[in-house]
Amino acid sequence: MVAFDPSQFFPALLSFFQTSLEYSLVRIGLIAVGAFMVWTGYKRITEPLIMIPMGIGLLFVNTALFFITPLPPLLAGISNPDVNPLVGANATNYVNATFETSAANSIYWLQPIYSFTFTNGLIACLVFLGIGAITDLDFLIARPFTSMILAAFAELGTVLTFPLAIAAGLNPGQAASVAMVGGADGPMVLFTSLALARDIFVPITVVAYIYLSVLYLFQGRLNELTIPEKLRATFMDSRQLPKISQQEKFLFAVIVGTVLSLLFPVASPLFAAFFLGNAIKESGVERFKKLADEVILSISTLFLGFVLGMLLTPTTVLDSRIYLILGLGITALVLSAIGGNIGGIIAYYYTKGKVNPLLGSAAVSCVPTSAKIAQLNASKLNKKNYIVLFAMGPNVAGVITTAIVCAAYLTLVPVLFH
Amino acid sequence: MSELGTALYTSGIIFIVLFSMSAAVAVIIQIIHRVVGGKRQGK
Repeated sequence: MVAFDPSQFFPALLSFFQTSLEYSLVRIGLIAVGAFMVWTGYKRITEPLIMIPMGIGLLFVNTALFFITPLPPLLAGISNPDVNPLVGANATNYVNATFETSAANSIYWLQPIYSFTFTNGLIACLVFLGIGAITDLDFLIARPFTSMILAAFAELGTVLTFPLAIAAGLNPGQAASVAMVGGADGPMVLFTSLALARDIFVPITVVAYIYLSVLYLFQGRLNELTIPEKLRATFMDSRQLPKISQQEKFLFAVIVGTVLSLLFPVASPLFAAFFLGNAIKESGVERFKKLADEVILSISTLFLGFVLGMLLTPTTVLDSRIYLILGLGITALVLSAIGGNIGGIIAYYYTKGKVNPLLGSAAVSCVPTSAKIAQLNASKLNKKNYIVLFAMGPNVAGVITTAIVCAAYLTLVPVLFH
Repeated sequence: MSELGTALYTSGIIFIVLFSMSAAVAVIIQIIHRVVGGKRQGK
C-alpha cells in the first residue's frame, strides 16, 4: 500500500508554516489587500472595473497559485524572468515539489495571455483602442488651445518626478516609468515600464492603478486647497460651445494620429491604437465601434487587472524599491494635479475670468474621473454651473500630452543615459 | 554631466517638447476646425 501523507492534501495551507515568518506575513497581508480591493470595488468606493479583477487575482495567487518550483520540461524554455516575470515572480524555493504538476496546470493557464499581450505591450494598446472608441472629442476640438495647454501644465508630475526618482536611486528607465504615474493613465504607465523597466513593471503599474482608483478621494480636496473659492465659482455657459461635425472629429483622429506617429515613432503603437479607436467611433461603422468599446475594452481591462493581480506576490512586495515607488507615484500624481491647477489659474487670469480654473485639474488625464471631480467641485458652489462639458476638453487632451511625454521618455532615456 | 544633471536636462527638454507639441496639435485642430467647420457654416 502506498503511504499517504495528509499534509500533501493541503499544500497551500501547509506552506504558511514552511516559509519564513516575514514571507508568510506579507502573503497574508496581500490576501487581505486583495480582499479589500474586491470589497471596495464591489461597494464602488474604488474603480470596480480594475479593482475587482485585480483583487481576485491577488487573492488567488497568494492563496495557492504561486506554489511553483522547477518548471516542467516543456516550459523550461520560457523560464527566464526577464522574458517571463509571471514565471519568475512565482518561482520560489519554498515549495513542495510534489505539487509541481498540479501547480503547473494551474499557473500556466494564464501564460498565453501574459506572453502574447503583456510582454509586447499589446494589452496597453488594446485598452487604448477601447478608450479611443469611447472618447468624445467635441470639447477638445471646440477649445483646442485651452485644452492642450492646460493638459501640458498637468504633466508637471510626469516631468518633475523623473529627476526626483533619479536622486532617490532608481535607474533612468525605472525613474521614467514611475514618473509616468503622474500622467494618471494606467495603460501608458504599463507601456512605458514594459519598455524601460521590465524588472519592476508589476509594482509600478499596480501602484498606478491603485492610486488612480482612489484619485477622487483626494483630488477634489486638493482642488479646494489650491484654487480660491471665488475662482472655483466661475460660471461657464455650455451654450457657448460650437457644434462639432462628425467629419471634423474623423479628420482630427486621422491627421493628428498620423502627425504624432511621424514625430514619435517609438510611441506609435499607442497613438495608432488610440486614434484608430477615435476614427472607428467617428466613422459611424457601428460593428467596429461595438467591437472596440464593448468587447475589446472590456476584455482587455478585465485581463489587465486580473494578470497584474496575479503577478503581485510576496517576492514582488519584499523588494525594497516598492516603498520608493509608492512615494514617488503619489508625488507624481499630486504634482500633476497642482500643475493642472496652476495652469487653470493662469488661464483664468489670461482670459479675464472666462475659464474656470477647475478645468486645469480636469487635465490630469484620468478619463473621465478628473472631469467629474472638477464638476463636483463646481457644483458645490453653484448647482447650475455645468463645467463638465468644458472639462472634457483638457481631460481628453491629457491623454495626448501623456502619450507625448511617454514618447519623449522612450526616445530620450536610451539616448541620454547609455 | 552627473546622472542627476542629465535627468534635469532631460526634464527641461521634455517640457519644451511637451508645450511645443501641445501647441502644434492645437494649431492642427484649429486648422481642421476652420477648414471643415467653416465650410459647413458657409453652406
